[in-house]
Amino acid sequence: MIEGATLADAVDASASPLGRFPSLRAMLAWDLGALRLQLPVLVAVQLLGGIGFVLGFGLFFRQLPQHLALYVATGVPVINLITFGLVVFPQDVAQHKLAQTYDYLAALPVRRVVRIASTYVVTLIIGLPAVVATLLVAVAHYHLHLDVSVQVVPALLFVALSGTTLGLALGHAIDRPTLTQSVTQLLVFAIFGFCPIMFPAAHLPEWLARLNSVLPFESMGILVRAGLTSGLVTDVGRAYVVVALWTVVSVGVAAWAMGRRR
Amino acid sequence: MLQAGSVTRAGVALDWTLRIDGLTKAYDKVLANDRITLTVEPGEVFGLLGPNGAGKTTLVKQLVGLLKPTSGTIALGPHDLIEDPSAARQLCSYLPQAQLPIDSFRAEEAVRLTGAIRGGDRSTVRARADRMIDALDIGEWRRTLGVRLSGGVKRLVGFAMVAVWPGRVVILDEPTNDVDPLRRRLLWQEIRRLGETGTAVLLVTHNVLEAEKAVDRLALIDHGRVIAEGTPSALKARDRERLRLQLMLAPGRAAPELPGFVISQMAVGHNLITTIAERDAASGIEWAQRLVASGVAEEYSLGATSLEDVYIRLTGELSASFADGEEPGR
Repeated sequence: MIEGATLADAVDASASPLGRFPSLRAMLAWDLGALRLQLPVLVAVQLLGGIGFVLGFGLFFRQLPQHLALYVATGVPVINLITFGLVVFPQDVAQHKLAQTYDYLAALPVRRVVRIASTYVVTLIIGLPAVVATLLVAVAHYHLHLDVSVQVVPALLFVALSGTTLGLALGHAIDRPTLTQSVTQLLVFAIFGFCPIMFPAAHLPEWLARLNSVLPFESMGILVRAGLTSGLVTDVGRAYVVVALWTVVSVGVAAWAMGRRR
Repeated sequence: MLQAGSVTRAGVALDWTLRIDGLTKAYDKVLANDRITLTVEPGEVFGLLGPNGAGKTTLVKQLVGLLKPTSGTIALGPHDLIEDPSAARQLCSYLPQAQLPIDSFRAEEAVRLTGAIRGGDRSTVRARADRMIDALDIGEWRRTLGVRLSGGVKRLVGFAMVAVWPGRVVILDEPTNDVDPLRRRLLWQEIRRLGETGTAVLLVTHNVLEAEKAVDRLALIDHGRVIAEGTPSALKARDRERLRLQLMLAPGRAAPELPGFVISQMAVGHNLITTIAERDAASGIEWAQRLVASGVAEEYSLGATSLEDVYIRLTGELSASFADGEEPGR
């Protein structure tokens, strides 16, 4: 009884009221812990995926022109970062729906913004080392000179945020787990093949280039490239606006879908 | 806006009664919950009983903000849980029917982390987690990853996760699934303990015999409606002075003709479950012995009626206690 009284008092006092929301730290510990079994594989896939892609281009084209090598070197890390958010999180959410563990997580007293923030930090922890490693390998392999500015830091943070929230929006908003899987696979395929991230937009048919100019992926590439090179990209301001709009929509959709009561 | 604290400056405690009133949840034209009205007091262990598909899980999912009622109200103390699902999540701790996602967590880690996520302070959560792990006798798996735990131990860890920082209402949906008989008893003790510490416990089960021993009050739900509500003994009142006479019929033999003193009967597989008045006990035994002697029945048992009989009478079905092989009426 004494313990109960103490506990009840603690609940009340902690509380201005309920007010004490669980911290981001606790949620992050949960999210990282939940990935524990997959973590070595995820990190390896990110590293090998990025580095392997950069080196693989060298096999395709024995002599990759410097300006294309620059596109590859600055594009692959971006694709790596986006696809991490677009694949890992939607499939994780879909898995919870399949295993019927989704309800438990949805019923935890965690504000949606905290859940999104925690997932974002996971992206940074797992995704950013691979970005740096990929860049270093690319620079060494293709003897590139990057013109790195401090601008690359907010650009990478922003791209990671956008990829994460897009992934969360897809995962939470799509009800059928099998559909989630198909959609993410299609997106990855489209991003690799038809989004001008590893190559200039001028290589695309005009209609596809125009379509890409309103989708977020090319703009994400522009943001990061602007922080790593000089004179290669223009219209960085517009790219920020495009990515920001997609991020706002993604956060809105993710938050709506997370709190949706059927 | 949530109200600060549950104790006012004058020191008068708020009333944390859970009040469900006229709750209806419709899917197309099917009513999963049909005007359910219930009240659960702080510290009360309240059972929600009923067959599969009766609407029990639908009901509790509305409490924690996973489903939105078609109409009706749910209030916990000063909070309207339908208007404010975030208050519902803060105040109610929910163990769903499915296992929790703890494959990559060590057992004690999962419990402590959940306590932290629920807003508990570190030292209290740690102390409570340790005590519960010991009380449930799962200490030997304290540092084992969830993926290596048996279903029953996982279930117990799940219980500890929701009870370590319970809020005002703990909702347990079939908490004893897969749990071995010895630890089931420990789990019931812990559930009672939650009640003793002022937390209301809403227990969803279709195991009537277990519920009978554990709950203060219960509601029997069938086809989305509350068809009976009260303490176990009040619900059994009608069956007072009655006995259950159960016959295991021989395979391939026709069911026997029932004597006039049989009040009710139900056939389940090879079992014929009948109710008779206490004063007819001798006649009942004599009848049953005759059936065994003639080979119509293989064996029989006579015992006190239980909540199971109330359940059979009201729902026309047997509860999970029967399916689990527990002997009804004992």
